[in-house]
Amino acid sequence: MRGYVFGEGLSEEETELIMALVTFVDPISYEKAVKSYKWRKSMDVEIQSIQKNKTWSLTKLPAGAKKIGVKWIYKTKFNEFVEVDKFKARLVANGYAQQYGVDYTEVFAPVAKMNIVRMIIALATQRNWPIYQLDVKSAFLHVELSEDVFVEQPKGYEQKEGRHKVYKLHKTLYGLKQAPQAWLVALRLTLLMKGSKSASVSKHCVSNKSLEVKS
Amino acid sequence: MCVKQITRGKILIVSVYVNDLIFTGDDEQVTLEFKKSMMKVFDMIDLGKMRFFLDIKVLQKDNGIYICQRKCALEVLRRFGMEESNAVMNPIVLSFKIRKNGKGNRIDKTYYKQIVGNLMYITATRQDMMFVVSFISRFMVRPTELHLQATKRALRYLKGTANYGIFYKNDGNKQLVTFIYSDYAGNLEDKKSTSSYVFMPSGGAVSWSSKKQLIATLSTTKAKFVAAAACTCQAVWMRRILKQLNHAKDGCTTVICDSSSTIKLL
Repeated sequence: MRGYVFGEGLSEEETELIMALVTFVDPISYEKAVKSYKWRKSMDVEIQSIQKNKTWSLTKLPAGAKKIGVKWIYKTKFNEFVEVDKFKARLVANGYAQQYGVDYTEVFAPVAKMNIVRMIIALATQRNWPIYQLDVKSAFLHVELSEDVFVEQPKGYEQKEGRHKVYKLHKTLYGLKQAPQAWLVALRLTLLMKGSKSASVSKHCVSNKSLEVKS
Repeated sequence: MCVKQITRGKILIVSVYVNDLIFTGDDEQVTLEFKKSMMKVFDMIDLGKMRFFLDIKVLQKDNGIYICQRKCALEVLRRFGMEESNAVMNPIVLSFKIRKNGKGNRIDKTYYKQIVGNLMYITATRQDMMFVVSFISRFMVRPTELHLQATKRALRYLKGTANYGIFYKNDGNKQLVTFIYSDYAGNLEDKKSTSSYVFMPSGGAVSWSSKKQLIATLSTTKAKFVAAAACTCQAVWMRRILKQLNHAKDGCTTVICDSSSTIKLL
């Protein structure tokens, strides 16, 4: 199936048509995606978002430093009615090239357990509370990066002058090992500051073992 | 991560899943203030009332909240080519048992694991599929066509019940009631039993599990006792969390069990 969908030598309109028929098949490489207008547009949006957040700056790679590769990931997002919502391109760093102890140390980043989410819903129902939802746009691009990380220039967006230069990251990029942890620390700090002096903040770092509750 | 804030005596509960935040509280003003202050700090999309969280659809109505994973279920069915299959009424045939190393043609391990993994997420709102998912996941090492048939049956059940979800009523029972059950020597290989429990505050299930026991038991009484012990552990955890969320229960947590000899043991 895939072989037919990404048949080489098709015109852009033909590719568009086929992609519309089987929208759930997302391109897996930049070379495939760049042929289609919608993916080019989504990549532009991602690069804009990166630049707006001042995620990186172009520098020369210092001697002895290592650069990390980056990769484009494409995903068609569906809404709750299983209709196409948007086409999303995300630039990620190849975190697997990072070395523990050199490029990153702490990676622990707890998320809400499904049990707790359901319990909050049940609790809110009992007390007739409305539940609200917020979504952070490109969450990881907000977070200051404490380590020195250099990434190569993304495909399709190389700078004309300074082709051999690399980007030094100021904010965490998706795919970095420390990104989720750094984001959560930043968010926790913000939440702590929001609470008044009497605020009690407790974090539930809950592992799979049912009795372990750290607070 | 789950955070509680108390501002001017009003409680606000925030739950974070990487970049998705859900929050609720007893004062409209406090929640709105929280939203505004967060939007100042981060670049956020205000999604209003919680409608769709981690692929789970949330319907907030006057008489309660309904959650379901219809979209997720349909996607799973489409992915494994089962969207046109005939629906069945139960996820597994009664007292259906298979061996790990049965005869029959081997099938692709990765494919089998993909189905199990996809079904695993469906159990986030579907406690009725919990047993069958943990059952089929025991055969991931050497799956044969027979094992795949059991998996396909679970998918066919899902096809007929894609709209199923959990409805939390706001006039439901306020007590924390739990039910336990276990089979006896259900596993053909090591004769261990499977214990299961479900927590039902306000009429909707909140926490559930179906797990093969770690020890071999000699009678149904003992098997159910083991299940009761696992359930109690979870109950202690739940009560602690509820206490931290300022929702401490004064009364006891009721554990309901169908074996009178197990109840006498306790």
